[in-house]
Amino acid sequence: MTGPWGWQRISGAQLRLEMVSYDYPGGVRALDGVDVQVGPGDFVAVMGANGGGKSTLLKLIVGLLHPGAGSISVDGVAVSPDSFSQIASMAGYLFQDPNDQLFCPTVAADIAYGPENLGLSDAEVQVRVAWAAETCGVADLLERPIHALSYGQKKRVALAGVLAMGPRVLVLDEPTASLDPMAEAGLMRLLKTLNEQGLTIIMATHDVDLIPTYAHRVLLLRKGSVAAEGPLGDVFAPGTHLENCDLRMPRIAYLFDIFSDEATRPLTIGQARKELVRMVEHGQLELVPILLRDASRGIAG
Amino acid sequence: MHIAEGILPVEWAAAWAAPAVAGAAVGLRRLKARTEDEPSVKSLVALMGAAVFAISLMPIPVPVAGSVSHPAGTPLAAVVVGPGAGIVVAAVSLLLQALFFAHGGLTTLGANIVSEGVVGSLAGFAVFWLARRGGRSLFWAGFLAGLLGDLAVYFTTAAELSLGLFPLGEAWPRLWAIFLSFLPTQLPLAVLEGVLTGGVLRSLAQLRPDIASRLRVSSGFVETPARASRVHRVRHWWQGAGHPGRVAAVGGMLLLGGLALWGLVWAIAVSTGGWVGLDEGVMERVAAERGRAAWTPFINTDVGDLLLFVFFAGALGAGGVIGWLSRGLRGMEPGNGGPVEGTTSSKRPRSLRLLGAAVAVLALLAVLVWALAAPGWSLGPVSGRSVGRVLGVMAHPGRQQLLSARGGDAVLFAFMASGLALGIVSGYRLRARRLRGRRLRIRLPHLHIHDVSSGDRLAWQSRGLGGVDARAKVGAVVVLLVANLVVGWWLSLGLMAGALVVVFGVQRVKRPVVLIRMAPALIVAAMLVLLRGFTVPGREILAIRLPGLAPVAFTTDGVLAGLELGLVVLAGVLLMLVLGLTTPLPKLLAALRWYRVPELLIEVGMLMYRYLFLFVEETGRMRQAQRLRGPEVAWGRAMGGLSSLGANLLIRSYERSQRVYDAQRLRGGTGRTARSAQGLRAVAGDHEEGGGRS
Ligand SMILES: Nc1ncnc2c1ncn2[C@@H]1O[C@H](COP(=O)(O)OP(=O)(O)OP(=O)(O)O)[C@@H](O)[C@H]1O
Ligand SMILES: [Mg+2]
Repeated sequence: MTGPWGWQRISGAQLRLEMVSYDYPGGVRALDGVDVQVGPGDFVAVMGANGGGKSTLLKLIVGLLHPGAGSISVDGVAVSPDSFSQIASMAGYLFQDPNDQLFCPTVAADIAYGPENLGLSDAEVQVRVAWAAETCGVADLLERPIHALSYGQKKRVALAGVLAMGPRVLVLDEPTASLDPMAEAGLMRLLKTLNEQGLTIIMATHDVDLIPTYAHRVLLLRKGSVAAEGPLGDVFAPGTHLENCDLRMPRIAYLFDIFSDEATRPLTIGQARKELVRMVEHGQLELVPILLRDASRGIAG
Repeated sequence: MHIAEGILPVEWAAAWAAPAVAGAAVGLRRLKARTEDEPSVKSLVALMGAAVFAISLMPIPVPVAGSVSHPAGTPLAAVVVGPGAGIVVAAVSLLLQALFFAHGGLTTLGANIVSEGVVGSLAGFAVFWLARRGGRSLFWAGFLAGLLGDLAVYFTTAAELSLGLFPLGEAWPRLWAIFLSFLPTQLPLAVLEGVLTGGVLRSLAQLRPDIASRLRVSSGFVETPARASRVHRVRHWWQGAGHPGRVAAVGGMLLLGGLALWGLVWAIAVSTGGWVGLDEGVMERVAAERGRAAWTPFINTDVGDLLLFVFFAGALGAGGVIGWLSRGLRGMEPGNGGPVEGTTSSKRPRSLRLLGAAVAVLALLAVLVWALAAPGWSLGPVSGRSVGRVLGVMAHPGRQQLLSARGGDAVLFAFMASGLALGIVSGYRLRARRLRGRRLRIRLPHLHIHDVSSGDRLAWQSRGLGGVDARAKVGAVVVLLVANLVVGWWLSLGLMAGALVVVFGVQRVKRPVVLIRMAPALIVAAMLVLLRGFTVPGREILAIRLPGLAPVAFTTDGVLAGLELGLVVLAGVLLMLVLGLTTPLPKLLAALRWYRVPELLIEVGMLMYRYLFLFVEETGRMRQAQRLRGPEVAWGRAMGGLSSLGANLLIRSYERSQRVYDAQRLRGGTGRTARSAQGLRAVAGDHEEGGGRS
């Protein structure tokens, strides 16, 4: 079964934000002079403290809000009230709360909503619904009413509804929050696969440990402005003051630190093991082998 | 106020359907027009509808009755989303209620839409608008809208019942009789609905002035300092006033209210040209038909059914005193969670003293009333003679007529007995609460959440009739419901048996689920049998004979007549239950779409279905959160809490409606979704068809 993009490589869209500012009514400055570019096929993680402006930024990209100053474009199309449907056909947006996103009575009806509005035939719609449901692991829930789903299941259905439209850029607001560990890993693998096929992804998240394994770039927001932006290694480099953004190093970087410091600060096997056990206890089981691989690669390099 | 399925004869069901359809059509037209320049309004109406539905599931404590009840909600809906949309909301939610709770009915849907939707919305909105124009504050305008809107709904229901159950010529006086018999229970409820409506609107304007003005709830009105300070002064006075002052104030208000009520009754009596009681007309007719002499009526002498009201209230009060005192006699039980200080024995004499005092006061009252009743004064339609006949029962020369087999008195005694029982129970419980150091407690609407979602789960099963096309089921049920009204008792019996076989045999529904839904209908049926059993003359089954009094007879003819109508009601409700328990609402709405029900109504219904559960759950959670922070609250604060709860629910639904609209736009919906809403085809029965083609 193929996705909405067929067998071809997905031509990911490119985003350009120029000196974007946004004030909420009431005077809260949520974004202040944000200047960012996201290339086609990029995988960008937007991070920062609660209230840092992540959701606002994502809403601006899809045109749910309009910047007070600056401009935003998706693949050269300027985001404005007039271009709303054009943008919506390129960008798939996942709400932070799935209860906002799912408004049809049943799962099947909700996933079909977008494709039907694209003017596809019934048969094509069916294919897309089946594909999206299968991909997001909700194929056995298709006949269920939305209110009879768990929160995590709702999140998956919401993503299925977005994917079924075959977007060229995914704009996701905390897609992994409140998913179980397996679902989280599954979702991230799916995003990685899609990204490898060329889909541009920009996602807000608080999960620092997840990012290093999947995202290419990080955009760090602090009180509405860009605190750091760039490839993973640069942002999570020792010099960045992550505490300012209420962030910590990913555990992988920790480990990396421990291993690479070995020369200067002798680390016994026992200490390293303790560190590993701590990570396992914190539920990072799946990451451990990857960590070790990346870490050893890092040491080798 | 929901008229149960089967009560209205077929011609009246059809007659009320016409204005209902017209009202809904106008409402839809207005809504559609608003959708054109503000596409998000559709989701707003649906979500507000779901919120109002959830609010109307909030039980309101009624201190006098010691129980809880639910507000109607349409005046509030009309103020918030406009009268046109209010009708739409009412129509959809009445449909949902008919199917979820077997509350109301399908053949009576028209009548219910007219009373609750059309009249409730228009009256509520008009009152609100006028009051605002007159410079009333948001709370008072909302209070009046809720109060008068609620009463208007009940008045319309009374009109519908009187027209449906009595010949045209008698309908006018009957209307007033039925309306007045609603009053004892409905008046407090209407006041509560007013308090809640006003409170919600005020909280809404305080919490989110931007939303309130966008909804045009608070527009064009500025809270003047003078008015604010007046309110403040009153509050200040109340806090400062001692017990006697407050008692005097409340007493004065009650007196004024009583005088107003008296005036109202007088006006009604004058306008209807003499007072006819609840069953005078029927009785005279039946008596004449059977060639018997009619008894001189008791209830409907000069004051008519007002006495029902008076006696009910009296019995309620007396019962309350008895219950209160008897709980006091029992004293406090250690281990009942109450404070154990003060031994039980020291409590008893005080209660006995109180009991004595109460008896003395009652005796004094009796003497006073006697003095009032003895002289031959008359005030409009109410005379000393009539009061005397009521209150000086035993001394009156014509007393053997007081307990006549003509039924009127049976109704009176039923009223009095129920008032007394209700009074005793609530007095007892109130005292028990007091002794445990608690005030009134508000119960969570758990039952309803549970009931709604368990019914929904059942409906999604594909067992038995669940697999049948919804269109066929809807068509069949409507035809059967109409046949149930016109054919005769044997068909009703057959339908009932058939429905029971389907529910228990085929669908294997558990008994409690059916019982909960059937409870209102069973009560209605039992009342019909009792009422007719006592009121229709014929061969006596059971007669109560007291020396010197005419017998109260329960007759076969009466039972049969009651059973006949009761059967129709039960069969109708069971049929609806079969439909509701085997067809989930989305499929039902999809079927209605096929029957050419307007698309907008269907869409609103679908959105309401989606969000109803969320709001019911949210209400539950919010109430729990509030309770956890203050588990036992006094009544006044509880109402304040309910108001802010309701306002919060409205705010959440407003905000969510904006996000839902965003979500629709982002996936290509324009707010005027043409095909999208048909996405249901995938689940509405022809799933195989779509799958086969792919
Ligand atoms: N509707 C609103 N009205 C006014 N201010 C708002 C509104 N929504 C967000 N804000 C403010 O804008 C700022 C940025 O909010 P935003 O939702 O973008 O943060 P976030 O980074 O997504 O946070 P979180 O991690 O909690 O999701 C915050 O200071 C917030 O208080
Ligand atoms: Mg956010």
